Amino acid sequence: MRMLAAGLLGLALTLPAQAEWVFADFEAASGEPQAKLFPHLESAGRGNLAASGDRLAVVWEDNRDGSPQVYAALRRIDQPGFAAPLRLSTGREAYEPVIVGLGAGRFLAAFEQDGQVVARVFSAAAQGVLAPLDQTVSAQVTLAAGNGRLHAAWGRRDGRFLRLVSAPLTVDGTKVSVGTARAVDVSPAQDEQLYASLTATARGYAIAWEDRRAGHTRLLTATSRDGAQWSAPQPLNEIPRQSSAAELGLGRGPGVTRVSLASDGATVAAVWMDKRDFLSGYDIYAGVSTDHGASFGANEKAQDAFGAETPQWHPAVAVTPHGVVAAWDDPRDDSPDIWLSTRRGEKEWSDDFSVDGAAGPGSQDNPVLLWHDGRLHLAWVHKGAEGAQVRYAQARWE
Amino acid sequence: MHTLTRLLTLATLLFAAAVQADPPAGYAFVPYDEGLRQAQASGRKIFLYFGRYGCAWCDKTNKESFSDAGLKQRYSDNYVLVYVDAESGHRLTLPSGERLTEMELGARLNVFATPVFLYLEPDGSPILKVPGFKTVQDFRDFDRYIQGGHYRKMKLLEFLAENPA
Repeated sequence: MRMLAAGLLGLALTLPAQAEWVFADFEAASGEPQAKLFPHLESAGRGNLAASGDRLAVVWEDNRDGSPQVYAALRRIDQPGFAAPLRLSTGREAYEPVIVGLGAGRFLAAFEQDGQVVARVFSAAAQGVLAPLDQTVSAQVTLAAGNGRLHAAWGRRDGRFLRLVSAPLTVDGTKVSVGTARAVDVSPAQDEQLYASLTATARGYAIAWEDRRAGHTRLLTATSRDGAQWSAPQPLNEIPRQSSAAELGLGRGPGVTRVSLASDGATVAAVWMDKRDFLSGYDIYAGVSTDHGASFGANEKAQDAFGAETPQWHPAVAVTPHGVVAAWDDPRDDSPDIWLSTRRGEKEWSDDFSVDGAAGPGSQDNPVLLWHDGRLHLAWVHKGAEGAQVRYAQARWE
Repeated sequence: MHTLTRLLTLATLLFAAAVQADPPAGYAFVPYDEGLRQAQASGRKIFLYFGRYGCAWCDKTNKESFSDAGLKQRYSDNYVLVYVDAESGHRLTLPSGERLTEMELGARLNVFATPVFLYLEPDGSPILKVPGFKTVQDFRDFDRYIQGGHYRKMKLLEFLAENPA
């Protein structure tokens, strides 16, 4: 027996430890919480985090100045400590900011301000002039940077509907210029196209959005080499077997909403909220493309069975060398916590795991993710008795 | 000309707002924050309908229950009617000053599936939450329970057992 125990101990010591995400650098990004201060990490595609040079930036909206405005906070990637928030918006109200890195510590942020989408270059040292991306009513902007190019997509009011358009952007110093905006889907607008998520790939761009033309919400995807012409829209979410209600001519389909994309070049991952199993609210589903977003594999349920009885919200995604990572929040432990899952291999997702600093007392919700240079960056909104704030942590695969 | 332009703009905005979601036709549903203001001003309770674009059971409820003229009159008289599209990014401002979207309101109130119907006090505090398709008689029973103040003394099922329709 002793020999067997010693053998097992020796085996355990010689086996490599199972690698996992190890989080560190937990800190606040938005400053101290205050009563009646309400920060929001909301955006099309959940694109609120970016890296540039040795800097990391997070953008959010809150009411610290008496109205909803957009702010950014920067820190060195390898040193804890966010600098004081910078206000990026200048109008009466601003919402849903997104951000991409431009290199050398410079960033491009875009957001909705007073009913139109605008963009602004900023760094720790300077801010450029606010540039309108559209002259008409517009919202829900998403950005992508890759291969030396920049592109934006947003919803433009076209009659009764928001219609998805995209345009190239150029940055000269701190000046932003926007090229011609074109419809992503050239067919006539028939209903809303909402909350797009744009990502750069090795072959151009991939985009996904909510589309209501079918009488219910579908998630559609398209790709483009240059951002000017897009492929025909392809369905992303699978529609399960018709329900008894639908067979009676009632309704059109299950709820799907808030798709987010991420890419490492060839792999494009999508996550979204999906109510095909409607009794427990939304679940987190994923689709993975290995051909730059041209086609996606079968839908995969990213969460595990332990969250089956609670609704999941606010999915974000990152593509890493250690697998696709999905993050979301759900209240399976009575209050909302941040949960993550890693896709290892073909269609196999890990058990859901929480992060000590992003779970527990209070509420932790609205996660955003970024993979950059060997680190997984996570930000979320924490709400406690003392108020709410945007918090941050980073992880390595160890 | 300015007046005509304004009227056309208003009509466009109203129509645009109307197509954001699909509440039952002919009812004076308003957004959540507007409903809270109306309820606090009038002292009427709130009937809150969480629906979703394309939702089958919302569709069934609209066609089979809310089409009833008597129910329409009863609920229009007794409640401030609020509709929330559970997938909408439409922004609301709460009395606390907090701004949130209709979808976030659903997350806050733990709305799983649609439709979900909530009866609220004029200050927004919840009285009763009933999920799923409901018949005309169900809605009449809920109204008797709420308007009679019975919810202060007993559970809904107890009330219905003691006071069948």
